[in-house]
Amino acid sequence: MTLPILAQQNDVDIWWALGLAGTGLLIVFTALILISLFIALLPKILRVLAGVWPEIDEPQANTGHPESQVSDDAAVLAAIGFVLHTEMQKQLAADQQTTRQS
Amino acid sequence: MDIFLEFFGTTGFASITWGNSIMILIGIAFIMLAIMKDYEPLLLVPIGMGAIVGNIPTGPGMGLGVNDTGSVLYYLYFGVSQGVYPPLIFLGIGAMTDFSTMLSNPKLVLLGAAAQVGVFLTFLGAFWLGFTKAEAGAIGIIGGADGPTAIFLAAKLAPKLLGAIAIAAYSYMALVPVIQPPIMRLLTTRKERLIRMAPPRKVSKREKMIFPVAAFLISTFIAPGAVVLLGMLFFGNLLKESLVTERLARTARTAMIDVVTILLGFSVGASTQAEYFLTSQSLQIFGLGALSFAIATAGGVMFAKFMNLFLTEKINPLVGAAGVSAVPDSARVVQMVGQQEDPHNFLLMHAMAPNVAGVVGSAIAAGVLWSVLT
Repeated sequence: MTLPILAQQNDVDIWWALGLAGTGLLIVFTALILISLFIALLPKILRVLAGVWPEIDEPQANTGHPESQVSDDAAVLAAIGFVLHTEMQKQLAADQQTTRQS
Repeated sequence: MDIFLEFFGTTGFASITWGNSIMILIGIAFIMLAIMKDYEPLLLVPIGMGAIVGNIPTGPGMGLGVNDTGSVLYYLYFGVSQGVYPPLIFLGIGAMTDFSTMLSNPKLVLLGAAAQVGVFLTFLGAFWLGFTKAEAGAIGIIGGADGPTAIFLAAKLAPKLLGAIAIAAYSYMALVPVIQPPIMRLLTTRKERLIRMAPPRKVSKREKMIFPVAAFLISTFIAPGAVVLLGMLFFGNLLKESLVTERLARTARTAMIDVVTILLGFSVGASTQAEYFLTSQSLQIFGLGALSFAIATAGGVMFAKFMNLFLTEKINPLVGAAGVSAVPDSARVVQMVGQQEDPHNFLLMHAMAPNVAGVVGSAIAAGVLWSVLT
């Protein structure tokens, strides 16, 4: 029997292609369902493991490796400097306005 | 005079063909689209320039093209033809990706699987049109909406079609904001588009650290063909989430991915030489590519509606459209379409979950096709 929608290929190949498409989709679903189940179970697993491997505010986890912070420090300092500069400008403008009003 | 005439014979003016002219115009159109419309500029500019370079006719025996052994372009293209660049791109994507939204709402992962229906139906469509099994598999993966995956699989299964498949994949990825919204509106009611979803829960650092290793093991034990792409994707993510290799993660998601994107885009563009590219097969591939994007979008939306039949806390079905793995464009489209109905409905974070699941899903689909069709 030839499926009308796949008339350009022979029967064996048609069924083989349909089988591959179905199986392929099934495999993708299986893998992602398993990943989904694992994600759903992960908080529970971690709660059980908390006795052995407690999740604390690990300083390393919060701040990253000291070596990796080098270029961030410059950015943070620049941001602090910018905020200080802006605040001082505002303060200066407010002082000048007060002086003029008085 | 003879020397001049001999030299003139080697110039582009003497040996240019209509095909070369058309491809040069297409290259210019890509560059203009990127600059004027901001469509995927990081890809369309290198591809467009590559197409112009690849279609300059050179004299006989000069051997400058990607197919001429020993030429510079041949060596640049080596990373494409041997599937080296796509895994490196995946490393960078992994180092950029935050899986938090997926970890906070695991049921949305299924939408990333549903959208892969586009891959397998396009495979059938290509097979019906008379492509070989391997070629049909390479064309089908365009439905995964993932450029690097499409290039990787095409390099393995159908190297002759690589240029057309890569251009089709990236062109349609750039056209996600044009292709997806009408399909999303057609398949959903206004009431469905107005559904608001609960904000995602906070995910612990430890969950984010464990996830890449566990997800890699699960997916590649099932589909070992995806080991290279998923290995690099989850390795990149581990660099990011481990918090102790931030310097490596930063390099992977900035300098390295930029270098590889330049090389990949340019050499793919250069491979679109008119004599190989302007064929009826390329037109068929473009047609199938558009169809595959539409089917993938519809697959994700319809599966979200199907899931809603069983869920008490409903999913906004628009989110299903993000199951195609064009990250983050399709998630942005979901946000845009959702906000057209309700400006205070923020779907972007929810849409990122199926979006990154789609990346994993399309890599698994590629792995399955590669394993079976080689």
